Amino acid sequence: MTNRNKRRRAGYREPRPATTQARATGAAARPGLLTSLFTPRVAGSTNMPRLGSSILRGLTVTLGTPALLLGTALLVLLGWIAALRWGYQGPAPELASMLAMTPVGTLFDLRLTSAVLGVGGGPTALLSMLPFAIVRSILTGVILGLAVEILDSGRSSVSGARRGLRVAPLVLVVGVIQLGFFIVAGYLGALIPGLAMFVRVGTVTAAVYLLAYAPIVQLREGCGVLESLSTGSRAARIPGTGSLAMALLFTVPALAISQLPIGGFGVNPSAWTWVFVLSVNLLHVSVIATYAYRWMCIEDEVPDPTVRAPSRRR
Amino acid sequence: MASLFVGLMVTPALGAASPSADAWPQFQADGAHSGSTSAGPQPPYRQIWRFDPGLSGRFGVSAPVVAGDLAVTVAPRALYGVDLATGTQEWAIERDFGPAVPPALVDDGAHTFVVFTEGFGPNPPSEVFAAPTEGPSSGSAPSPTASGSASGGSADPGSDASFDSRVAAVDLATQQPVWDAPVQLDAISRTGVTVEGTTAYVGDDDGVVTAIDAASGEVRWSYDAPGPVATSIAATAAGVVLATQPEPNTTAVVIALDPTDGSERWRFAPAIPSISTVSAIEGDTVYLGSTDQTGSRMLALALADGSRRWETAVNSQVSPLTSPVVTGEAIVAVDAYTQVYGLDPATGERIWDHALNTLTVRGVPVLVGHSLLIATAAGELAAIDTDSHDLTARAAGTGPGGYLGPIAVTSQLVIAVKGGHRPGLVAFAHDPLASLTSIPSPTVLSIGTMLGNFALAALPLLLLLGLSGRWLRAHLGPAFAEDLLDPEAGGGPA
Repeated sequence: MTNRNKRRRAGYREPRPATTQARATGAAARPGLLTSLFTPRVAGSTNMPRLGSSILRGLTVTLGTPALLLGTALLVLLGWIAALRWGYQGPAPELASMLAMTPVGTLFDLRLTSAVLGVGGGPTALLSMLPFAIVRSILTGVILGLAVEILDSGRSSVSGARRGLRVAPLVLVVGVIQLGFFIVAGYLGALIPGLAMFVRVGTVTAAVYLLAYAPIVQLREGCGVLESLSTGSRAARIPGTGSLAMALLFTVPALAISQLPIGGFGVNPSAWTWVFVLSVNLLHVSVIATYAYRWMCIEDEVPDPTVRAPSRRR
Repeated sequence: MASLFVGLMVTPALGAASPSADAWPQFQADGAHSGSTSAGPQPPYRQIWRFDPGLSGRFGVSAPVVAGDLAVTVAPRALYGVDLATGTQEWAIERDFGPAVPPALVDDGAHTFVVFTEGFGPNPPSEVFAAPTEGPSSGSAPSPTASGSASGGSADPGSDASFDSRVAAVDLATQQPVWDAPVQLDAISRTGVTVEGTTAYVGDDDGVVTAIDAASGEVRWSYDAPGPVATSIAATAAGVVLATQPEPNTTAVVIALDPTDGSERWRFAPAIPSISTVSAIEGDTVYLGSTDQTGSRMLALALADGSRRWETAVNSQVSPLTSPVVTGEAIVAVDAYTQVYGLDPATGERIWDHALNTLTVRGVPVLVGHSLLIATAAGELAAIDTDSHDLTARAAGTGPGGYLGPIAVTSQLVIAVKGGHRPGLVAFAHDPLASLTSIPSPTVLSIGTMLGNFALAALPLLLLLGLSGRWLRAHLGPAFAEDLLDPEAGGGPA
């Protein structure tokens, strides 16, 4: 019997005890960077549900919870009105990436910053983007908190949102790290221009693959920034969990949508544009819920970090 | 090469032309590229003629210039004089196979002559090996019969497949050369000709800017820029401004020269590699657009020292072929997605904008009274009222499809380059039977429309998705079943 359907304790959990097992087992327990990619899924080897089940659960959380459903629509409308007040003129379909997880959401922030403030790149643009990134962190944290609470208890409440707020700083940190991935991708793309697009997609996928779980880890385990990042990346590398496939499934269509040259400039989106924007944003919220669900399914099987043997002094 | 054999293809005029004082002697009206006129037909428009010189391939005709009752345009192998009243070919003058770039008209009091460039140099495009297909528009005039170019170059295509680059001048009335000899250039010229006062300016792919005495054809001075000069040069009595194109190891710069001796006054070199539009000069300020990897913007630079007075971001890239329109009241610029911006000349602040949301790559805006005309890649001539900022007219050219390009304006006509299949010129006149529209820009907020559309979309969508979510929840059940064996959670074995 697995613990797949075992009910989890809601919200914050005490940090796990020290890594005695890891000390005992040594490096063998630590998965490699791409272990999950090359390890076939073996029945019963992990509690991680299949991709389809995960996504369906994420959708159920989003669509079946009025707070998330209506909240998403309201956020999109308020976001659009705020953008208009700052002088943004569209294209409105770009708003489809508004609630996307980082780093796709970060691209949206960058574009919005560029359009509103007229700064397109360099340190100025990155600094100007900071307020947008902070707001994104808060929103992502709240959505995450609500999703975890709904998965746990079937209900959403202010306390769930409040718990989510606590991980907003880590979401911001993750966004900054992922931005670093982007910058590296830019340089790599310049080195091999013919493959620049693949380099970019690959880099974004890697960023999602390694870092997407980190905020959920902190939300659930209450651990610090570094430990959350480390645990999240170890969770992604658990063999047979399909984490890379999940990352690809998110990044490829999300990047494609964010880059689609659709719609012209205008501030009165048509009803069809709103349908598109709302639908895609609900999907983005579902992705956040999907990641929360996937973490909650495997949180007990994440290998402890390998403790390196102290180097001998000469 | 130096022979002055003139290949004239003079044909009888087919339509009576009514003399007028119309003049649009060069690209964007004058050397400063003001691009505006107070006298011109007001919208709405209808196409009244189309001039088709029978071109094929990828090269079309240049921006037209107008003197009296004649429009002159440059095609790869010939100059054409087109009767403004009927759109039929008055004459054609063969030229060496070269870029179809704007000529300029010079009036010395006694004569009006056209100054133009020719020659693709030693490595012409592959079209040179194809039989020339240029000819008169169907039924309007006989085909050219003479060989040789107006400047006496090697006009026999394929003979040596080399066409020296030159600047030449031909009298409009007699179609005879005006200068003793054409001015030889070292590289292909794509800038077209800009005339200011008595001086004609051309640039070439080697970056050499040559100032020529328009009356005699003598070179006054030349200047060697750090990159190719391929777009129109702006010139006033106070300064000459040009933009270079980027090369693999050279960034593009904007340079101002002293018109008297060609000495460099200043060089504006953006920190990030960029592409600039054609400049326009008004008073002591140079206006231009610039696109780099960080975005696009309009810039105002001091003509005296190149210092940046202001810059204003625009939404889309700007085409290097376009130029802002300059009036005392506003700078009007158009980006490549045909968003028109009215900017305060002093501060660059955006006063108004109108987004047409269609591509414009070769279109250059012109201002006719209070109507801004812009030709689109879709082949439409759009008019935007600079007072109301509304779209007041939209006219599509008839005939084979293709983009509309640079415009010349007379008191009765708007003449635009027609590109695409069977390129040529099209002329629009005021259409008294059509009515003006008043379509606001989609960038003007209509709170009722915006919220109404949102409600129209959100209510059924959320209802549908909400019901789907409830159904899914009912069928899938809770994400995690009641605790089975987790004493930490307070549960016990089920």
